[in-house]
Amino acid sequence: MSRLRQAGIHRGPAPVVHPETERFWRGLGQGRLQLQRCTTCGTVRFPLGPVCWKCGGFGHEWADVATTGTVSAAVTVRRATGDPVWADEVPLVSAQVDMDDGHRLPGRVLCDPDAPPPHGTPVEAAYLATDDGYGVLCFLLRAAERADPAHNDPAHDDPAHDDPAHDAADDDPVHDDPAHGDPEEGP
Amino acid sequence: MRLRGTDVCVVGVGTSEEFGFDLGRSPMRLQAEAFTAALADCGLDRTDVDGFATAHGSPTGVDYEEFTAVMGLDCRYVDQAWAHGRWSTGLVAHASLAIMAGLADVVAIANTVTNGRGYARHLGGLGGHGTVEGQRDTGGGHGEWSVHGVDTPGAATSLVAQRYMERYGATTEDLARIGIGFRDNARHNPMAILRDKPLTQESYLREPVISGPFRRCDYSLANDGSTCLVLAAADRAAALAKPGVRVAGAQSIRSNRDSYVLFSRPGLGVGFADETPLRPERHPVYDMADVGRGDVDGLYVYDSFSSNVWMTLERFGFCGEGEAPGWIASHGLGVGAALPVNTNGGLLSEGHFGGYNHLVEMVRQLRGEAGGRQIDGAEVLQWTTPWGDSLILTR
Repeated sequence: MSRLRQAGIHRGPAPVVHPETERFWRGLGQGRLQLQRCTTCGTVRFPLGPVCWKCGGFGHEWADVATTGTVSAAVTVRRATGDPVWADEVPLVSAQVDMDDGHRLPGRVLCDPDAPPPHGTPVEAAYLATDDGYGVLCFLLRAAERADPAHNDPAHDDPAHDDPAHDAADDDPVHDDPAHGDPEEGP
Repeated sequence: MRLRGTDVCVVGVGTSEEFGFDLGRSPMRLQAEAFTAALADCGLDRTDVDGFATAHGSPTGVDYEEFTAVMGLDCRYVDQAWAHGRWSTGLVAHASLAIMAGLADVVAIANTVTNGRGYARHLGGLGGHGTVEGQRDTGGGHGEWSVHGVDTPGAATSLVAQRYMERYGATTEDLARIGIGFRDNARHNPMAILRDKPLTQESYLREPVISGPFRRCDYSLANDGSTCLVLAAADRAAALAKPGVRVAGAQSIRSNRDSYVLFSRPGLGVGFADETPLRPERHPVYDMADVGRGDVDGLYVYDSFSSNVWMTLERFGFCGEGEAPGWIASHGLGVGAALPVNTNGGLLSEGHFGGYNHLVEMVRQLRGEAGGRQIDGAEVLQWTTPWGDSLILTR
């Protein structure tokens, strides 16, 4: 199973974590990108929610999903006009990313803010650690990753990588292991 | 419930005495001014008003029951929506239905905004930074994700504009034309906050970049002020001093999984939405008003951010997919254009009053009261938003 690389410490507002979503945030803090998969129809969904938007089913399991994708759009936020906690972090790049299994996920891209990546730029999911042991999804440029010989590209050994999310029910499922609760060591 | 077969008209409009960044007057004071002005406009008395509706509640605006108490109103119909700008169509449509159903005879719709550098700085209960919606499990309705640093509607909408510009090849110059066009319209509107601040391609480029492609003048204003519309049945309107402006057609906000991000448009592929070609939608507002798109004499767009205009022109079919920047470059947005847009200066240059200021402007245009910015022979005006709702007002 591929693990996300810890790319730093999260300095933004703490994510709102509640019992129904705790698994997502804790999973990120352990280097796992997991979303809810409907146990009725197999649809993997984002955003997080208690019910499947496609079939209305309530049952779900947590499934590891693709950790690579391409930038749909990225912007450099130059002024923190909302939460002042961001004042020390701007300029920052934030994006929506088309993941290789069909989801579109939001997250910062840790890159030069004067060169926000254009549409189609390959990126890899990573996480920023919070004080509570949770993680916040972010992305790294894949070209930069490949330039780093010490780091293995997790896309190559990610079993979920080639699973189209909407065909998940018909595919060999990437089983979530509910017994897996041990914190993983960071990179 | 049974509806009466009556037309409903806007019979009166009013605003606070001024619009501005810091007027030194409370939300209640501003709203009392707008309400009083709207009643004077149509010649009705406070005691005639038996319905009241608002979206912008306290602390930056006024909740409905505060207002009825302070103004001494006795209402048998009230409505209050969420304190967002998106309800302009909804409040007017619901008030019209309430009148048609006999729930009220005369409904006042008043909305007030004050900002943190204006009177709202004196008001308790504001606290924080107002970006909490971006902390929902689904993110904010404008596409905000607070934990990812896109925690304001502006930063989120800059991502919409970025996707649009990359997908269709729109340029900074194209984006600038929107703010420049509305700033030019504002010159002729004595209420417009930025009426004396001309904008050119050169001065646009000198504006600081805030997020993505957005400079300061791609953002609507944060300001203080109030608007009021008074609605009544057509037979009541006929007895009043000024001609009623007919609420001829309406259609609601479109809400579904693929329309989550308000300031995007279907098919663009922002938020959870699929990226697809723009598919034609049915817009029943035209049939309800018994007009065609080509009959529209002026268009009013919820321009909280400049790129909203691209989304709206394409969604409502005024031009094809990806063609809005070229349409604006060739048609212009001014009063003399084939289709004038936001003759009041819009939220970008008159001020951000939730779009209710556009509705006030539409009424004045249809009555021929718009002075130096009057659209010649205006008979059919349309209110539109990127999220799909619309009103058509007719003379």
